[in-house]
Amino acid sequence: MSDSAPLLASYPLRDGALQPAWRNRRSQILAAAAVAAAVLAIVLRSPFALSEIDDVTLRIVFPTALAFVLAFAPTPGTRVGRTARDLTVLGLCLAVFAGDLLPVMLASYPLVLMISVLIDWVRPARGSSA
Amino acid sequence: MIDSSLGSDELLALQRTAFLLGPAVAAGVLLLICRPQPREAVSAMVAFLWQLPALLLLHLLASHFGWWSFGGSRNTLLGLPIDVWIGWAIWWGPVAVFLSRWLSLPVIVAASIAIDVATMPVLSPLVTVGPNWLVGDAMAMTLCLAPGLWLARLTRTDRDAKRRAMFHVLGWGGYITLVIPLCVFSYLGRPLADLYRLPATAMDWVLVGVGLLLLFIGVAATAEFARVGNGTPIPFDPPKRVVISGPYAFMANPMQIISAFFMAVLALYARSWGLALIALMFAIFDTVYATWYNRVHIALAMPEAWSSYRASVKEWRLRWQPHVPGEAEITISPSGPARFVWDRVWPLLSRRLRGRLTIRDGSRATFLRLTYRRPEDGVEDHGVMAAARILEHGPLPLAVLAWLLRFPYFGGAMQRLSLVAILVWRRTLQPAS
Repeated sequence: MSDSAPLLASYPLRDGALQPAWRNRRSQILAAAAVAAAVLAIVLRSPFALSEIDDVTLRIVFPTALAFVLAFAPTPGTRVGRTARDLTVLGLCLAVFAGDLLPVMLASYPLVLMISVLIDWVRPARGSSA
Repeated sequence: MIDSSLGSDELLALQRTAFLLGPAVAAGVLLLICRPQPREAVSAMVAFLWQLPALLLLHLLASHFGWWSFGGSRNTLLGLPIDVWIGWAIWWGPVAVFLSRWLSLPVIVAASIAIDVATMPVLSPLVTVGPNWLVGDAMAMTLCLAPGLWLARLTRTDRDAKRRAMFHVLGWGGYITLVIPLCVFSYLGRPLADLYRLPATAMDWVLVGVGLLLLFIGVAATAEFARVGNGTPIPFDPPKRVVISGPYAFMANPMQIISAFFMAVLALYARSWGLALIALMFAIFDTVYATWYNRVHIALAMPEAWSSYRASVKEWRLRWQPHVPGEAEITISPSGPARFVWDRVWPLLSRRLRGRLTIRDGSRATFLRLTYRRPEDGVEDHGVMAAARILEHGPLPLAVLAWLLRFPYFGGAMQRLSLVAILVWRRTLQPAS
Protein backbone atom coordinates (compact mmCIF):
# COMPACT_ATOMS: atom_id res chain seq x y z
CA MET A 1 0.00 0.00 0.00
CA SER A 2 1.54 3.24 -1.09
CA ASP A 3 -0.53 5.55 1.06
CA SER A 4 0.20 6.57 4.58
CA ALA A 5 -2.12 4.92 7.06
CA PRO A 6 -4.45 7.10 9.09
CA LEU A 7 -5.13 5.88 12.61
CA LEU A 8 -8.57 5.13 13.94
CA ALA A 9 -8.09 7.70 16.70
CA SER A 10 -7.79 10.49 14.18
CA TYR A 11 -9.96 8.93 11.45
CA PRO A 12 -10.90 10.51 9.14
CA LEU A 13 -9.31 13.85 10.03
CA ARG A 14 -5.85 14.60 11.28
CA ASP A 15 -5.30 16.32 14.60
CA GLY A 16 -4.13 19.90 14.86
CA ALA A 17 -5.16 23.21 13.44
CA LEU A 18 -5.04 23.70 9.68
CA GLN A 19 -1.88 25.60 8.79
CA PRO A 20 -1.16 27.04 5.35
CA ALA A 21 1.91 25.52 3.72
CA TRP A 22 3.51 28.88 2.85
CA ARG A 23 7.06 27.45 2.78
CA ASN A 24 6.30 24.32 0.83
CA ARG A 25 8.19 24.50 -2.49
CA ARG A 26 5.56 22.56 -4.39
CA SER A 27 2.81 24.82 -3.05
CA GLN A 28 4.74 27.89 -4.08
CA ILE A 29 5.20 26.55 -7.62
CA LEU A 30 1.52 25.67 -7.92
CA ALA A 31 0.45 29.09 -6.62
CA ALA A 32 2.86 30.80 -9.00
CA ALA A 33 1.44 28.78 -11.89
CA ALA A 34 -2.07 29.87 -10.93
CA VAL A 35 -1.11 33.54 -10.77
CA ALA A 36 0.80 33.30 -14.06
CA ALA A 37 -2.20 31.67 -15.75
CA ALA A 38 -4.45 34.44 -14.42
CA VAL A 39 -2.14 37.19 -15.64
CA LEU A 40 -1.92 35.57 -19.06
CA ALA A 41 -5.69 35.11 -19.25
CA ILE A 42 -6.28 38.75 -18.35
CA VAL A 43 -3.69 39.91 -20.91
CA LEU A 44 -5.33 37.77 -23.58
CA ARG A 45 -8.70 39.22 -22.71
CA SER A 46 -7.53 42.85 -22.57
CA PRO A 47 -8.67 45.43 -23.22
CA PHE A 48 -12.00 44.93 -21.50
CA ALA A 49 -14.59 47.42 -20.39
CA LEU A 50 -15.40 48.09 -16.75
CA SER A 51 -18.83 46.60 -17.38
CA GLU A 52 -17.09 43.25 -17.96
CA ILE A 53 -15.24 43.24 -14.66
CA ASP A 54 -17.73 40.81 -13.12
CA ASP A 55 -17.18 38.35 -15.96
CA VAL A 56 -13.40 38.61 -15.57
CA THR A 57 -13.76 38.12 -11.82
CA LEU A 58 -15.97 35.06 -12.14
CA ARG A 59 -14.03 33.36 -14.93
CA ILE A 60 -10.45 34.33 -14.08
CA VAL A 61 -9.95 35.91 -10.66
CA PHE A 62 -12.16 33.57 -8.65
CA PRO A 63 -10.75 30.30 -10.08
CA THR A 64 -7.26 31.71 -9.49
CA ALA A 65 -8.11 32.53 -5.89
CA LEU A 66 -9.40 29.00 -5.43
CA ALA A 67 -6.23 27.58 -6.97
CA PHE A 68 -4.08 29.80 -4.75
CA VAL A 69 -5.88 28.72 -1.57
CA LEU A 70 -5.78 25.07 -2.61
CA ALA A 71 -2.08 25.29 -3.43
CA PHE A 72 -1.26 26.48 0.08
CA ALA A 73 -3.77 24.22 1.83
CA PRO A 74 -2.28 21.67 4.24
CA THR A 75 -0.60 18.90 2.29
CA PRO A 76 -2.90 15.90 1.93
CA GLY A 77 -1.82 12.80 3.83
CA THR A 78 -2.02 10.41 0.92
CA ARG A 79 -0.24 10.35 -2.41
CA VAL A 80 -3.53 10.21 -4.31
CA GLY A 81 -4.68 13.22 -2.30
CA ARG A 82 -1.53 15.12 -3.19
CA THR A 83 -1.85 14.22 -6.87
CA ALA A 84 -5.51 15.20 -6.87
CA ARG A 85 -4.63 18.52 -5.25
CA ASP A 86 -1.92 19.21 -7.85
CA LEU A 87 -4.15 18.23 -10.77
CA THR A 88 -7.01 20.33 -9.38
CA VAL A 89 -4.80 23.40 -9.16
CA LEU A 90 -3.54 22.79 -12.70
CA GLY A 91 -7.14 22.28 -13.83
CA LEU A 92 -8.07 25.64 -12.31
CA CYS A 93 -5.13 27.18 -14.18
CA LEU A 94 -6.63 25.81 -17.40
CA ALA A 95 -10.13 26.83 -16.35
CA VAL A 96 -9.31 30.52 -16.65
CA PHE A 97 -8.93 29.96 -20.40
CA ALA A 98 -11.94 27.67 -20.72
CA GLY A 99 -14.58 30.33 -21.39
CA ASP A 100 -17.95 28.72 -21.91
CA LEU A 101 -16.46 25.25 -21.50
CA LEU A 102 -15.91 25.90 -17.79
CA PRO A 103 -19.13 24.09 -16.74
CA VAL A 104 -18.04 21.07 -18.77
CA MET A 105 -14.71 21.09 -16.96
CA LEU A 106 -16.51 21.26 -13.62
CA ALA A 107 -18.79 18.38 -14.56
CA SER A 108 -15.78 16.32 -15.62
CA TYR A 109 -13.97 16.78 -12.32
CA PRO A 110 -14.37 13.08 -11.38
CA LEU A 111 -11.98 12.37 -14.26
CA VAL A 112 -9.30 14.30 -12.38
CA LEU A 113 -9.88 12.16 -9.31
CA MET A 114 -9.82 9.04 -11.46
CA ILE A 115 -6.52 10.05 -13.03
CA SER A 116 -5.08 10.69 -9.56
CA VAL A 117 -5.95 7.16 -8.50
CA LEU A 118 -4.63 5.69 -11.76
CA ILE A 119 -1.33 7.54 -11.37
CA ASP A 120 -0.98 6.10 -7.89
CA TRP A 121 -1.84 2.68 -9.30
CA VAL A 122 0.88 2.88 -11.94
CA ARG A 123 3.65 4.39 -9.81
CA PRO A 124 4.51 1.41 -7.57
CA ALA A 125 5.09 -0.68 -10.71
CA ARG A 126 7.95 1.68 -11.53
CA GLY A 127 9.46 1.10 -8.15
CA SER A 128 8.56 4.38 -6.51
CA SER A 129 7.16 4.67 -3.02
CA ALA A 130 5.01 7.10 -1.08
CA MET B 1 -9.93 54.23 -14.28
CA ILE B 2 -13.36 54.39 -12.60
CA ASP B 3 -15.27 57.41 -13.78
CA SER B 4 -17.22 59.35 -11.18
CA SER B 5 -20.43 58.89 -13.13
CA LEU B 6 -20.70 55.17 -13.60
CA GLY B 7 -23.16 53.76 -16.08
CA SER B 8 -25.75 51.27 -14.93
CA ASP B 9 -23.91 48.35 -16.54
CA GLU B 10 -20.64 49.37 -14.92
CA LEU B 11 -22.21 49.79 -11.49
CA LEU B 12 -23.90 46.42 -11.85
CA ALA B 13 -20.61 44.78 -12.81
CA LEU B 14 -18.87 46.33 -9.81
CA GLN B 15 -21.65 45.23 -7.48
CA ARG B 16 -21.47 41.67 -8.77
CA THR B 17 -17.71 41.67 -8.39
CA ALA B 18 -17.98 42.91 -4.83
CA PHE B 19 -20.59 40.28 -3.99
CA LEU B 20 -18.22 37.53 -5.07
CA LEU B 21 -14.85 38.82 -3.99
CA GLY B 22 -16.00 40.42 -0.73
CA PRO B 23 -17.17 37.16 0.88
CA ALA B 24 -14.25 35.24 -0.64
CA VAL B 25 -11.70 37.63 0.85
CA ALA B 26 -13.57 37.67 4.19
CA ALA B 27 -13.53 33.86 4.27
CA GLY B 28 -9.81 33.80 3.46
CA VAL B 29 -8.97 36.32 6.17
CA LEU B 30 -11.07 34.49 8.75
CA LEU B 31 -9.43 31.21 7.72
CA LEU B 32 -6.03 32.69 8.45
CA ILE B 33 -7.18 34.26 11.71
CA CYS B 34 -9.08 31.24 13.01
CA ARG B 35 -6.62 28.51 11.93
CA PRO B 36 -9.52 26.09 12.37
CA GLN B 37 -9.30 22.51 13.52
CA PRO B 38 -10.17 20.07 10.72
CA ARG B 39 -13.63 19.46 12.12
CA GLU B 40 -14.39 23.19 12.17
CA ALA B 41 -13.21 23.44 8.56
CA VAL B 42 -15.53 20.59 7.66
CA SER B 43 -18.39 22.41 9.36
CA ALA B 44 -17.66 25.49 7.25
CA MET B 45 -17.63 23.32 4.14
CA VAL B 46 -20.97 21.67 4.90
CA ALA B 47 -22.52 25.09 5.60
CA PHE B 48 -21.35 26.25 2.16
CA LEU B 49 -22.66 23.08 0.54
CA TRP B 50 -26.02 23.60 2.27
CA GLN B 51 -26.31 27.16 0.98
CA LEU B 52 -26.00 26.41 -2.74
CA PRO B 53 -29.23 24.40 -3.16
CA ALA B 54 -31.00 26.37 -0.41
CA LEU B 55 -30.22 29.73 -2.04
CA LEU B 56 -31.25 28.44 -5.45
CA LEU B 57 -34.56 27.27 -4.04
CA LEU B 58 -34.94 30.63 -2.30
CA HIS B 59 -34.32 32.39 -5.61
CA LEU B 60 -37.00 30.31 -7.32
CA LEU B 61 -39.42 31.21 -4.54
CA ALA B 62 -38.41 34.88 -4.71
CA SER B 63 -38.99 34.90 -8.48
CA HIS B 64 -42.36 33.21 -8.08
CA PHE B 65 -43.64 35.49 -5.32
CA GLY B 66 -41.98 38.66 -6.59
CA TRP B 67 -39.92 39.24 -3.44
CA TRP B 68 -36.93 40.49 -5.41
CA SER B 69 -35.16 40.14 -8.73
CA PHE B 70 -31.59 40.53 -9.92
CA GLY B 71 -30.29 42.74 -12.69
CA GLY B 72 -28.08 41.53 -15.51
CA SER B 73 -28.37 38.64 -17.88
CA ARG B 74 -24.78 37.42 -18.21
CA ASN B 75 -23.61 34.41 -16.17
CA THR B 76 -26.97 33.78 -14.57
CA LEU B 77 -28.92 30.69 -13.63
CA LEU B 78 -32.64 31.33 -14.11
CA GLY B 79 -32.05 34.98 -13.30
CA LEU B 80 -29.74 34.33 -10.34
CA PRO B 81 -26.28 35.78 -11.00
CA ILE B 82 -23.81 32.94 -10.49
CA ASP B 83 -21.24 35.20 -8.83
CA VAL B 84 -23.83 36.49 -6.36
CA TRP B 85 -24.95 32.91 -5.72
CA ILE B 86 -21.42 31.72 -4.91
CA GLY B 87 -20.56 34.82 -2.90
CA TRP B 88 -23.79 34.57 -0.92
CA ALA B 89 -23.07 30.90 -0.16
CA ILE B 90 -19.58 31.80 1.08
CA TRP B 91 -20.99 34.68 3.15
CA TRP B 92 -23.64 32.54 4.86
CA GLY B 93 -21.40 29.48 4.82
CA PRO B 94 -17.73 29.69 5.86
CA VAL B 95 -17.83 33.38 6.87
CA ALA B 96 -20.85 32.93 9.15
CA VAL B 97 -19.44 29.68 10.55
CA PHE B 98 -16.07 31.21 11.43
CA LEU B 99 -17.84 34.23 12.93
CA SER B 100 -19.83 31.85 15.12
CA ARG B 101 -16.66 31.47 17.18
CA TRP B 102 -17.45 34.89 18.61
CA LEU B 103 -21.17 35.33 17.88
CA SER B 104 -24.09 33.08 18.70
CA LEU B 105 -26.43 31.78 16.02
CA PRO B 106 -29.31 34.16 16.95
CA VAL B 107 -26.95 37.14 16.89
CA ILE B 108 -25.65 36.19 13.43
CA VAL B 109 -29.19 35.76 12.11
CA ALA B 110 -30.28 39.07 13.67
CA ALA B 111 -27.23 40.85 12.24
CA SER B 112 -27.92 39.36 8.81
CA ILE B 113 -31.51 40.58 8.93
CA ALA B 114 -30.30 44.05 9.94
CA ILE B 115 -27.77 44.11 7.08
CA ASP B 116 -30.44 43.00 4.61
CA VAL B 117 -32.95 45.60 5.82
CA ALA B 118 -30.35 48.34 5.56
CA THR B 119 -28.84 47.39 2.21
CA MET B 120 -31.24 45.49 -0.01
CA PRO B 121 -33.52 48.43 -0.93
CA VAL B 122 -30.49 50.48 -2.05
CA LEU B 123 -28.69 47.78 -4.06
CA SER B 124 -30.11 48.81 -7.41
CA PRO B 125 -29.35 47.93 -10.19
CA LEU B 126 -28.20 44.54 -8.82
CA VAL B 127 -31.26 43.95 -6.65
CA THR B 128 -34.79 45.24 -7.15
CA VAL B 129 -36.98 44.47 -4.16
CA GLY B 130 -40.71 43.79 -4.40
CA PRO B 131 -43.42 44.88 -1.97
CA ASN B 132 -43.18 41.74 0.21
CA TRP B 133 -39.45 41.31 0.18
CA LEU B 134 -39.24 41.13 3.98
CA VAL B 135 -41.26 37.92 3.80
CA GLY B 136 -38.62 36.61 1.44
CA ASP B 137 -35.89 37.71 3.81
CA ALA B 138 -37.55 35.82 6.65
CA MET B 139 -37.71 32.80 4.37
CA ALA B 140 -34.02 33.24 3.58
CA MET B 141 -33.15 33.08 7.26
CA THR B 142 -35.41 30.08 7.82
CA LEU B 143 -34.42 28.11 4.76
CA CYS B 144 -30.78 29.05 4.28
CA LEU B 145 -28.83 30.80 7.03
CA ALA B 146 -30.20 29.29 10.25
CA PRO B 147 -30.24 25.65 9.06
CA GLY B 148 -26.76 26.04 7.57
CA LEU B 149 -25.36 27.37 10.84
CA TRP B 150 -27.20 24.71 12.81
CA LEU B 151 -25.79 21.97 10.60
CA ALA B 152 -22.32 23.47 10.96
CA ARG B 153 -22.58 23.56 14.73
CA LEU B 154 -23.77 19.95 14.92
CA THR B 155 -20.92 18.93 12.62
CA ARG B 156 -18.28 20.86 14.55
CA THR B 157 -19.35 19.37 17.87
CA ASP B 158 -20.04 15.93 16.37
CA ARG B 159 -23.52 15.83 17.90
CA ASP B 160 -26.89 14.47 16.78
CA ALA B 161 -25.84 12.40 13.79
CA LYS B 162 -29.46 11.73 12.86
CA ARG B 163 -30.19 15.42 12.41
CA ARG B 164 -26.94 15.94 10.52
CA ALA B 165 -27.90 13.08 8.24
CA MET B 166 -31.32 14.64 7.71
CA PHE B 167 -29.67 17.87 6.59
CA HIS B 168 -27.44 15.92 4.22
CA VAL B 169 -30.43 14.09 2.78
CA LEU B 170 -32.17 17.41 2.13
CA GLY B 171 -29.01 19.04 0.84
CA TRP B 172 -27.97 16.22 -1.47
CA GLY B 173 -31.57 15.89 -2.59
CA GLY B 174 -31.38 19.57 -3.52
CA TYR B 175 -28.27 18.94 -5.59
CA ILE B 176 -29.54 15.94 -7.55
CA THR B 177 -33.06 17.22 -8.12
CA LEU B 178 -32.48 20.96 -8.42
CA VAL B 179 -28.93 22.32 -8.67
CA ILE B 180 -27.41 19.82 -11.09
CA PRO B 181 -30.42 19.50 -13.43
CA LEU B 182 -30.95 23.28 -13.51
CA CYS B 183 -27.27 23.92 -14.24
CA VAL B 184 -27.22 21.30 -17.01
CA PHE B 185 -30.44 22.50 -18.61
CA SER B 186 -29.48 26.14 -18.33
CA TYR B 187 -26.09 25.44 -19.91
CA LEU B 188 -27.60 23.45 -22.75
CA GLY B 189 -30.40 25.97 -23.23
CA ARG B 190 -33.10 23.38 -22.83
CA PRO B 191 -36.53 24.17 -21.37
CA LEU B 192 -37.00 23.02 -17.77
CA ALA B 193 -40.39 21.65 -18.74
CA ASP B 194 -38.54 18.70 -20.32
CA LEU B 195 -37.63 17.56 -16.81
CA TYR B 196 -40.08 19.13 -14.41
CA ARG B 197 -43.26 17.74 -15.95
CA LEU B 198 -45.90 15.22 -15.09
CA PRO B 199 -45.33 11.71 -16.48
CA ALA B 200 -46.88 11.35 -19.91
CA THR B 201 -46.21 7.75 -20.89
CA ALA B 202 -46.01 4.35 -19.22
CA MET B 203 -42.22 4.56 -19.44
CA ASP B 204 -42.33 7.91 -17.65
CA TRP B 205 -44.31 6.35 -14.82
CA VAL B 206 -41.84 3.48 -14.59
CA LEU B 207 -38.96 5.95 -14.41
CA VAL B 208 -40.71 7.98 -11.73
CA GLY B 209 -41.30 4.79 -9.75
CA VAL B 210 -37.68 3.70 -10.10
CA GLY B 211 -36.47 7.18 -9.17
CA LEU B 212 -38.60 7.28 -6.03
CA LEU B 213 -37.46 3.78 -5.05
CA LEU B 214 -33.84 4.83 -5.47
CA LEU B 215 -34.34 7.93 -3.35
CA PHE B 216 -36.12 5.85 -0.71
CA ILE B 217 -33.21 3.41 -0.47
CA GLY B 218 -30.74 6.28 -0.43
CA VAL B 219 -32.50 7.89 2.52
CA ALA B 220 -32.70 4.51 4.29
CA ALA B 221 -28.95 4.03 3.80
CA THR B 222 -28.18 7.53 5.09
CA ALA B 223 -30.38 6.94 8.13
CA GLU B 224 -28.51 3.70 8.80
CA PHE B 225 -25.20 5.56 8.75
CA ALA B 226 -26.57 7.92 11.38
CA ARG B 227 -28.39 5.39 13.59
CA VAL B 228 -25.77 2.67 13.67
CA GLY B 229 -22.59 4.46 12.70
CA ASN B 230 -23.22 7.83 14.35
CA GLY B 231 -21.98 9.57 11.22
CA THR B 232 -23.01 10.90 7.84
CA PRO B 233 -22.32 10.18 4.16
CA ILE B 234 -19.88 13.12 3.97
CA PRO B 235 -16.40 11.53 3.74
CA PHE B 236 -15.00 14.00 6.28
CA ASP B 237 -17.83 13.27 8.75
CA PRO B 238 -18.19 9.51 8.35
CA PRO B 239 -19.62 6.79 10.62
CA LYS B 240 -17.51 5.73 13.58
CA ARG B 241 -17.76 2.06 12.66
CA VAL B 242 -18.21 -0.08 9.57
CA VAL B 243 -21.96 -0.07 9.01
CA ILE B 244 -23.07 -3.47 7.73
CA SER B 245 -26.80 -3.40 8.47
CA GLY B 246 -29.78 -2.02 6.59
CA PRO B 247 -29.08 -1.51 2.87
CA TYR B 248 -25.39 -2.14 3.59
CA ALA B 249 -26.18 -5.81 4.21
CA PHE B 250 -27.03 -6.07 0.51
CA MET B 251 -24.61 -3.69 -1.18
CA ALA B 252 -21.39 -1.98 -0.14
CA ASN B 253 -22.04 1.40 -1.72
CA PRO B 254 -25.80 1.97 -1.90
CA MET B 255 -25.73 5.76 -1.71
CA GLN B 256 -23.13 6.10 -4.46
CA ILE B 257 -24.90 3.65 -6.74
CA ILE B 258 -28.19 5.36 -6.09
CA SER B 259 -26.81 8.80 -6.96
CA ALA B 260 -25.44 7.49 -10.27
CA PHE B 261 -28.58 5.55 -11.16
CA PHE B 262 -30.86 8.39 -10.09
CA MET B 263 -29.04 10.76 -12.44
CA ALA B 264 -29.35 8.13 -15.17
CA VAL B 265 -33.09 7.91 -14.50
CA LEU B 266 -33.37 11.72 -14.71
CA ALA B 267 -31.41 11.62 -17.98
CA LEU B 268 -33.83 9.08 -19.42
CA TYR B 269 -36.87 10.96 -18.15
CA ALA B 270 -35.68 14.25 -19.65
CA ARG B 271 -33.97 12.63 -22.66
CA SER B 272 -30.87 14.63 -21.77
CA TRP B 273 -27.33 13.74 -22.82
CA GLY B 274 -26.07 16.34 -20.37
CA LEU B 275 -27.60 14.54 -17.41
CA ALA B 276 -26.35 11.24 -18.83
CA LEU B 277 -22.81 12.68 -18.74
CA ILE B 278 -23.33 13.64 -15.10
CA ALA B 279 -24.54 10.11 -14.34
CA LEU B 280 -21.42 8.73 -16.02
CA MET B 281 -19.23 11.05 -13.95
CA PHE B 282 -20.99 9.90 -10.78
CA ALA B 283 -20.32 6.30 -11.77
CA ILE B 284 -16.64 7.04 -12.45
CA PHE B 285 -16.34 8.78 -9.11
CA ASP B 286 -17.99 5.88 -7.32
CA THR B 287 -16.06 3.15 -9.10
CA VAL B 288 -12.60 4.64 -8.87
CA TYR B 289 -12.22 7.39 -6.31
CA ALA B 290 -14.74 6.31 -3.67
CA THR B 291 -13.40 2.76 -3.82
CA TRP B 292 -9.87 4.04 -3.35
CA TYR B 293 -11.02 6.30 -0.51
CA ASN B 294 -12.62 3.40 1.32
CA ARG B 295 -9.56 1.21 0.80
CA VAL B 296 -7.17 3.81 2.13
CA HIS B 297 -9.18 5.35 4.93
CA ILE B 298 -11.81 2.98 6.26
CA ALA B 299 -9.86 -0.20 5.55
CA LEU B 300 -6.81 1.05 7.39
CA ALA B 301 -8.73 2.62 10.25
CA MET B 302 -10.91 -0.46 10.84
CA PRO B 303 -9.12 -3.28 8.98
CA GLU B 304 -10.75 -6.37 10.45
CA ALA B 305 -14.32 -5.14 10.29
CA TRP B 306 -13.82 -3.78 6.78
CA SER B 307 -12.10 -6.83 5.27
CA SER B 308 -14.66 -9.19 6.79
CA TYR B 309 -17.50 -7.07 5.41
CA ARG B 310 -16.03 -6.56 1.95
CA ALA B 311 -15.29 -10.25 1.57
CA SER B 312 -19.04 -10.84 1.58
CA VAL B 313 -20.62 -7.65 0.27
CA LYS B 314 -19.44 -6.10 -3.00
CA GLU B 315 -19.83 -2.74 -4.65
CA TRP B 316 -22.10 -2.60 -7.69
CA ARG B 317 -23.40 -6.10 -6.92
CA LEU B 318 -26.74 -6.42 -5.18
CA ARG B 319 -27.20 -9.46 -2.92
CA TRP B 320 -30.57 -11.21 -2.81
CA GLN B 321 -29.98 -12.40 0.73
CA PRO B 322 -28.42 -10.16 3.40
CA HIS B 323 -24.98 -10.50 4.90
CA VAL B 324 -25.61 -10.92 8.63
CA PRO B 325 -22.45 -12.21 10.31
CA GLY B 326 -23.14 -11.59 14.00
CA GLU B 327 -25.63 -13.26 16.27
CA ALA B 328 -28.96 -11.48 16.71
CA GLU B 329 -30.83 -11.70 19.97
CA ILE B 330 -34.58 -11.26 19.90
CA THR B 331 -36.51 -10.77 23.12
CA ILE B 332 -40.26 -11.13 22.97
CA SER B 333 -42.80 -10.64 25.71
CA PRO B 334 -44.49 -13.87 26.86
CA SER B 335 -47.92 -12.27 26.44
CA GLY B 336 -49.66 -9.26 25.00
CA PRO B 337 -50.21 -8.00 21.45
CA ALA B 338 -46.58 -8.40 20.40
CA ARG B 339 -46.70 -12.06 21.42
CA PHE B 340 -50.06 -12.50 19.71
CA VAL B 341 -48.65 -11.28 16.40
CA TRP B 342 -45.36 -13.10 16.93
CA ASP B 343 -47.00 -16.53 17.41
CA ARG B 344 -48.83 -16.16 14.12
CA VAL B 345 -46.11 -14.60 11.96
CA TRP B 346 -42.90 -16.22 13.16
CA PRO B 347 -43.67 -19.78 11.91
CA LEU B 348 -44.25 -18.39 8.41
CA LEU B 349 -41.32 -15.99 8.50
CA SER B 350 -38.54 -17.95 10.15
CA ARG B 351 -37.90 -20.23 7.15
CA ARG B 352 -37.04 -17.24 4.98
CA LEU B 353 -34.58 -15.55 7.31
CA ARG B 354 -30.78 -15.70 7.27
CA GLY B 355 -28.31 -15.38 10.11
CA ARG B 356 -28.18 -16.68 13.66
CA LEU B 357 -31.23 -15.63 15.62
CA THR B 358 -31.58 -16.39 19.29
CA ILE B 359 -35.10 -15.94 20.65
CA ARG B 360 -35.84 -15.39 24.30
CA ASP B 361 -38.92 -14.70 26.32
CA GLY B 362 -38.43 -11.36 27.99
CA SER B 363 -39.91 -9.71 31.02
CA ARG B 364 -42.35 -6.84 30.83
CA ALA B 365 -39.71 -4.37 31.87
CA THR B 366 -40.53 -1.94 29.09
CA PHE B 367 -43.66 -0.94 27.27
CA LEU B 368 -42.22 -2.14 23.96
CA ARG B 369 -42.29 -5.93 24.13
CA LEU B 370 -40.10 -6.81 21.17
CA THR B 371 -36.38 -6.14 21.26
CA TYR B 372 -33.71 -6.86 18.62
CA ARG B 373 -30.00 -6.70 19.49
CA ARG B 374 -26.85 -7.26 17.49
CA PRO B 375 -24.21 -5.80 19.78
CA GLU B 376 -21.27 -6.70 17.54
CA ASP B 377 -22.74 -4.60 14.75
CA GLY B 378 -24.04 -1.79 16.93
CA VAL B 379 -27.70 -2.54 16.29
CA GLU B 380 -30.44 -2.35 18.90
CA ASP B 381 -34.09 -1.61 18.25
CA HIS B 382 -37.42 -1.99 19.96
CA GLY B 383 -41.05 -2.46 18.97
CA VAL B 384 -41.89 -1.91 15.30
CA MET B 385 -38.25 -1.01 14.62
CA ALA B 386 -37.20 -4.38 16.06
CA ALA B 387 -39.77 -6.16 13.89
CA ALA B 388 -38.28 -4.37 10.88
CA ARG B 389 -34.80 -5.51 11.93
CA ILE B 390 -36.03 -9.10 11.92
CA LEU B 391 -37.43 -8.63 8.41
CA GLU B 392 -33.98 -7.44 7.33
CA HIS B 393 -32.77 -11.01 7.80
CA GLY B 394 -34.98 -11.95 4.86
CA PRO B 395 -34.50 -11.59 1.12
CA LEU B 396 -34.41 -8.18 -0.55
CA PRO B 397 -38.19 -7.56 -0.84
CA LEU B 398 -38.66 -8.20 2.88
CA ALA B 399 -35.71 -5.96 3.63
CA VAL B 400 -37.21 -3.15 1.53
CA LEU B 401 -40.40 -3.50 3.58
CA ALA B 402 -38.23 -3.30 6.69
CA TRP B 403 -36.55 -0.10 5.50
CA LEU B 404 -39.98 1.36 4.94
CA LEU B 405 -41.01 0.43 8.49
CA ARG B 406 -37.86 2.07 9.86
CA PHE B 407 -37.95 5.02 7.46
CA PRO B 408 -37.25 8.33 9.22
CA TYR B 409 -40.43 9.89 10.64
CA PHE B 410 -42.63 7.22 9.01
CA GLY B 411 -41.05 4.59 11.26
CA GLY B 412 -41.60 6.83 14.27
CA ALA B 413 -45.24 7.26 13.27
CA MET B 414 -45.62 3.48 12.96
CA GLN B 415 -44.07 3.05 16.38
CA ARG B 416 -46.56 5.47 17.90
CA LEU B 417 -49.40 3.76 16.07
CA SER B 418 -48.31 0.46 17.57
CA LEU B 419 -48.33 2.02 21.02
CA VAL B 420 -51.91 3.14 20.45
CA ALA B 421 -52.76 -0.38 19.28
CA ILE B 422 -51.25 -1.81 22.46
CA LEU B 423 -53.33 0.55 24.59
CA VAL B 424 -56.48 -0.42 22.70
CA TRP B 425 -55.56 -4.09 23.13
CA ARG B 426 -55.11 -3.69 26.85
CA ARG B 427 -58.34 -1.83 27.43
CA THR B 428 -60.72 -3.56 25.08
CA LEU B 429 -59.40 -6.67 23.41
CA GLN B 430 -57.16 -8.29 26.02
CA PRO B 431 -58.49 -11.78 26.84
CA ALA B 432 -59.36 -12.25 30.47
CA SER B 433 -56.50 -14.02 32.21
